[in-house]
Amino acid sequence: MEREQISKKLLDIVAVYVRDRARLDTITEESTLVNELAISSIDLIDILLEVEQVFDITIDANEADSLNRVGTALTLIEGKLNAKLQVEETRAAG
Amino acid sequence: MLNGRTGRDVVVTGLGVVAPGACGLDAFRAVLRGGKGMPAFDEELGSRGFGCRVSGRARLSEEAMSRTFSEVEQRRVTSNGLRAAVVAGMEAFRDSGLGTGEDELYPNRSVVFGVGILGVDVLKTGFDLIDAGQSKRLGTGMMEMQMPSSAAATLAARLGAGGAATCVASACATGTEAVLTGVDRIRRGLADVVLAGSTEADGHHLWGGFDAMRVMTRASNDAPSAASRPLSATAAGFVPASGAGALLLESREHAEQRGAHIYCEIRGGFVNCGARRNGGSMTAPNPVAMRRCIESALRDAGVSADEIELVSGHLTATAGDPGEVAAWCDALRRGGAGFPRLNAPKSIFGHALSASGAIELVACALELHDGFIHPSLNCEDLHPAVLGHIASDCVVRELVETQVTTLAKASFGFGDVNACAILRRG
Repeated sequence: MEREQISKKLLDIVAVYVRDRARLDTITEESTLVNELAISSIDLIDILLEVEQVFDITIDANEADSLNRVGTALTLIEGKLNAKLQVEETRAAG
Repeated sequence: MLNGRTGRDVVVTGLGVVAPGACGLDAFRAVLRGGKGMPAFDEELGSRGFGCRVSGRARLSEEAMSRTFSEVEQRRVTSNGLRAAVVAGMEAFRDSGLGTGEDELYPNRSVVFGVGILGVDVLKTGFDLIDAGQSKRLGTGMMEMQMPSSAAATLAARLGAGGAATCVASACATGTEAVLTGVDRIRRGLADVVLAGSTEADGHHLWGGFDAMRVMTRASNDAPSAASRPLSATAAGFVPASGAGALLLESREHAEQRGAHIYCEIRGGFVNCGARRNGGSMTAPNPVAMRRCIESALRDAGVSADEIELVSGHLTATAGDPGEVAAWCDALRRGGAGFPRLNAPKSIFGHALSASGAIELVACALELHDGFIHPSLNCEDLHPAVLGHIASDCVVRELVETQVTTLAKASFGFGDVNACAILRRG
């Protein structure tokens, strides 16, 4: 999945938790969910669960902090999807 | 605890309700007047081999849900118990005309909201995840739905309440006790405004214990709307129900200063226990304590027994109904044709357990305000033991358009706990 597609899916998940919708117009990869988007720490936990479900990946406790910044979240998800793809390709080849 | 006619007058300036067949005040009024029992056949109870297969499940309308909760909140809060509490509580708050500044904290506002088992309809989902080593998947809403105090805490946040946010739990007496606790708080000057009420979720996990005790009716599975039969010779146990009721209580001074609309006054009340003496038990009230509760409520309200024009009974359609009528007669020192008018709201809705007192107090407030007495259904065959105490005509079996000035409402809960409130028009 291309980074742009991942970005769109991630922002669809996050948008529901953003109370002031105007903040969504100024998101960049440097934006943090807690500061710029004013999302609560409790919401972050639910966002993590939804990201796992939507992308069918597992995010460990020590990786969870990456979700707070859009750029690092995208990199994390991209990496996990690529790793999943490699495992599937290896399995198919074997 | 209430112990004498002291302190400020307390009035009701807002009402909110979620009840079987009625989400919201307008629908509730129509059901009270409508003369039809709300219980229906319950597929879930039937498929699980329950003896009782009828229930009065309160349903939350889509409109009420989207008006009360954001999309995120709807996903996080999935228990009907917590949902109903917040829907009813916010209806009462909006109805009162009070507002909230977004960041403002109001130290003179307080919440007392009771419950039986909050979240009982979703607990198993959570327990199964934990037991499967998947506690991570619980999400952030599960803890909130398990805590009995969540209804009060959530409503306090919505109201900007800076006074105490309290949960009360006294089984079927919960709602009435919650309201009287709120009255006490205002009388003592701890609050000018108290949102008081109670809630109960629905479902087989909650009702299973009652079915096992054989206190729910098994005799009307084929006639659900006639199943809840308080005062009847063919009463065979209660019909389980769910929902929430909320009353916005205010000191009369505070209400009048802001020109609030007043439904009625809560003149006073009393809460006590029977301690399972004198024949009282886990499921049956001590008759001496019931009588004392009613008498003390009258004394606290500064109202004489002769002034009571309507009794809204606890009356569950169990073997306790005749004993309750006897206790009322003893406490009011009135019997036969001299007894006040009597009705049983559970004949319409079933028994909403910890929500019942609050839902039924909303009904009482509407009766006083609108000028009617709702009928007591399904008692065309009055129990001979009831007729041994009061005349048949005392039981209101058809809707009556009349102005009642003073009524008494009581709730008698499992564990032998009692609560009685005295309400007056205006």
